[in-house]
Amino acid sequence: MSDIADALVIGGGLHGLSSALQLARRGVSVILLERSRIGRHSSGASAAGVRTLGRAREEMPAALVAMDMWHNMEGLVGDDCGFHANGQLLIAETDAELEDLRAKVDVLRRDGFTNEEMIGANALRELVPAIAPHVLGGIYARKDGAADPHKTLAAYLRAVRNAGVTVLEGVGVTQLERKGSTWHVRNGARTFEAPLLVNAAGAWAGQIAAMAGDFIPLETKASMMIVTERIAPFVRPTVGAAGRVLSFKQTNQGTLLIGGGQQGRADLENESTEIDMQRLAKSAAAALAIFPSVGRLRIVRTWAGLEAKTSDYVAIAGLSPNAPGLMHQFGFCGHGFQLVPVLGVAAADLLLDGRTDIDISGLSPARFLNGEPRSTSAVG
Amino acid sequence: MSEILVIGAGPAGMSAAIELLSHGLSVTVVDDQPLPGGRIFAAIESRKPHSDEDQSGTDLVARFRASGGNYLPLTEVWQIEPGPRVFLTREGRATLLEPDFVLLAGGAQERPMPFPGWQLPGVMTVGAAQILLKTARQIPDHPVWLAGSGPLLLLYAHQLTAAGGEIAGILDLTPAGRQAASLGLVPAALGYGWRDLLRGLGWKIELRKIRTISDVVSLEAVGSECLESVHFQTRSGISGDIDAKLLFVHDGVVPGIHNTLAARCDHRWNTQQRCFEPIVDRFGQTSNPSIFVAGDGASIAGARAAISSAKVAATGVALAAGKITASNADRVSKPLRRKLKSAAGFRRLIDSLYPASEGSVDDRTIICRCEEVTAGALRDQLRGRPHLGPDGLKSATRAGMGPCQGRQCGLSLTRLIEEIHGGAPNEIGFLRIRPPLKPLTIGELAALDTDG
Repeated sequence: MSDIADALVIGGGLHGLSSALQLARRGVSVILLERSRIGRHSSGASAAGVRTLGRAREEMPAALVAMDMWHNMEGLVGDDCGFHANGQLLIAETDAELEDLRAKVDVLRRDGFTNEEMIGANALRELVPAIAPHVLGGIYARKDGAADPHKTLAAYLRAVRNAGVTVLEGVGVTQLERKGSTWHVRNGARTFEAPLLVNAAGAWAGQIAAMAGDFIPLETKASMMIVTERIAPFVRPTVGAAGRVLSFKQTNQGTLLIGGGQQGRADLENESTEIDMQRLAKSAAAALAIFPSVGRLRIVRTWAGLEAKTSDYVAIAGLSPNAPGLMHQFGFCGHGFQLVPVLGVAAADLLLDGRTDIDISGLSPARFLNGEPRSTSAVG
Repeated sequence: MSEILVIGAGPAGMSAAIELLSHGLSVTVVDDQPLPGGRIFAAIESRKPHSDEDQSGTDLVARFRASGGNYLPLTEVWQIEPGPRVFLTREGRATLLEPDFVLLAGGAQERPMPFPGWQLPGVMTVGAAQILLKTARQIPDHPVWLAGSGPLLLLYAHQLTAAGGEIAGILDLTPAGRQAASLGLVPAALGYGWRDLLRGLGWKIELRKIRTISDVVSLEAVGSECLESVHFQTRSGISGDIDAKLLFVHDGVVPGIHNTLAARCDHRWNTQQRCFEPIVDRFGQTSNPSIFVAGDGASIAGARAAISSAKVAATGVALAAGKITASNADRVSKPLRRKLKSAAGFRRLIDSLYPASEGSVDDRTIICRCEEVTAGALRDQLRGRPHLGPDGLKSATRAGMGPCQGRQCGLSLTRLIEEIHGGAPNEIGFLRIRPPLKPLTIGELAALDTDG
């Protein structure tokens, strides 16, 4: 097996797979290096929300392109990835919250975004009969939805292999070096060479970036999740709440998945997470407040995944301004799943053409490399 | 004063509690059952003792009841953090306890014995059937076929017959020649186990009247809605089909390691017993200095040895809590360790007589019963992916994602990885445990009382 390729991808999560896929489909040879196994961390622990609702404005253009791609995943990777466009909701429990949501949708409309719309109490109850009586209404994004993270991983892995990518599990990166126009990526005594490099190393992407001379400050997230026993169809859209840390949905298996971002304990060095039960109790309480009938349901598992968080809560995707031929793609802060298909295309465009039609200017790593990060105009 | 939480009220938990109280420690015992006794002495207070062993159980429960510790039955421990922080639910209320020391006495579980059709109604484990017999006096309403290997199979056959039930026959999966091969181990076993061996011989003589098919190597439960027949094959190639409504299976017991796994204690593979067990020092202390393990949850040795091991672990806790000196702890535990050494000699004989069945698992066999994942599907995922590991296999197939938390499939996943990629079970490891360890509802978690 040759360790020389046109492009190397570091990281076997969904973003690494997506970039490897698009690069290979453009006819270049790709080796993907994964330290552990495909989907070991954030991708395998994802709630798999496919959401434009509440996106930061910087991520919006790419998220809207991604949305269209999600509606045609079969064509992209030969599998629907368990995606169903059952919509996403952000509900209000007080008049003040409702006004706040209305104002956000008004601003979006003014700027030409139609993905979010207001939904009144009656229509909401028709859509989600199990919702608590005190809920007043909210925002509805009807083209949004959710997928199955494990099906998505399996589909991408299959597609990547069919496209000719060499996928190496159990191969971590110990050193990066640029010699002439070639990246030398070391795994102990073994060296991989390619002119093009993608850094999609998730929670450890900051370390990889630093090996290439890009010092990007990152924090670590360990968002916790609860999954219940299977029940009969109960709720179709994914439901969030303006005043609570909550994301609530029913999976294709019939289980309820409760998350939203309560943080467990992250251990980057040992590549593991611990559940913080007292904080997780708040997730359960939030779910119970919005869906009072779920109290007697049994919890089957709880878990947390590890990923990188940026200081402005916006993802990083773009070429390194310092190191030639290096694409950074990480820092998704818990909302990177939806962006998977589109950022692979952007990575291939940028590495092979030096430009892309997908507007990811707001995600540029340069904002962390040239002085202070600029302030964000995030919506939601 | 140091607070000690004992988890489990079987022979080990009860003995540990009595010993800890004698050192003046504050002791709380939690157990998921309604009455003390564990599996072996389930509902012993309401049963007539049938043997010396039963009588010893009755006596132990009485001493435990009188010991003055705080005993909380019907209490489910659903998470143990290294702290130690122990989360439990009692009477619908979830609370957090933060004791100084935890002594785990959760006992054993039956080794999962996967074969095609084992999920059919009508097929159950001998252990579960035995609990029904002990606690609910439930005698099966059809003749029972037994299949597998191990002393519990013989004991249950004896107990069911004595209770008026009917054994239709036994499919013996013990490999031929084990008795001859184990003869050399008999002398070292006699000191501790001569009574047990005599009892066992008695059962075997009883069972000579029962139809027995020996040296069975493969088994299949057949039926559309429930068990209708059992297909078997012997090593010499004889195969047959037996009409049966009930098939009870058993392949020995292994330590229940979910508690120690959740607490992140270090574990190792026991090559003799083909199972994982927590690594403990000579006082039953795990890699976490605040967490001790006693009884079959530490290593399979049976109820009598569990009592000695619990007294040693309780002594270890008393030492760690500063209640006794090191020399006193050694003096107290020395005769107990001698007993444990002698028990180990007996155990080596039992393990040699009844080794874990290591036959190949048919591709059609459902390995994960919760998520209905077959051995074939697991093998497909494993091929070409040596780095997948048990958790990757879980992620790729959903095996181990169900409510049993991998209790039914965990060892099989390790075994399939070993089969496809080689490597020592110690390196392969076991599924990562994702709490809750026991049933917990959304409502209970939401109302978690964190002031405790």
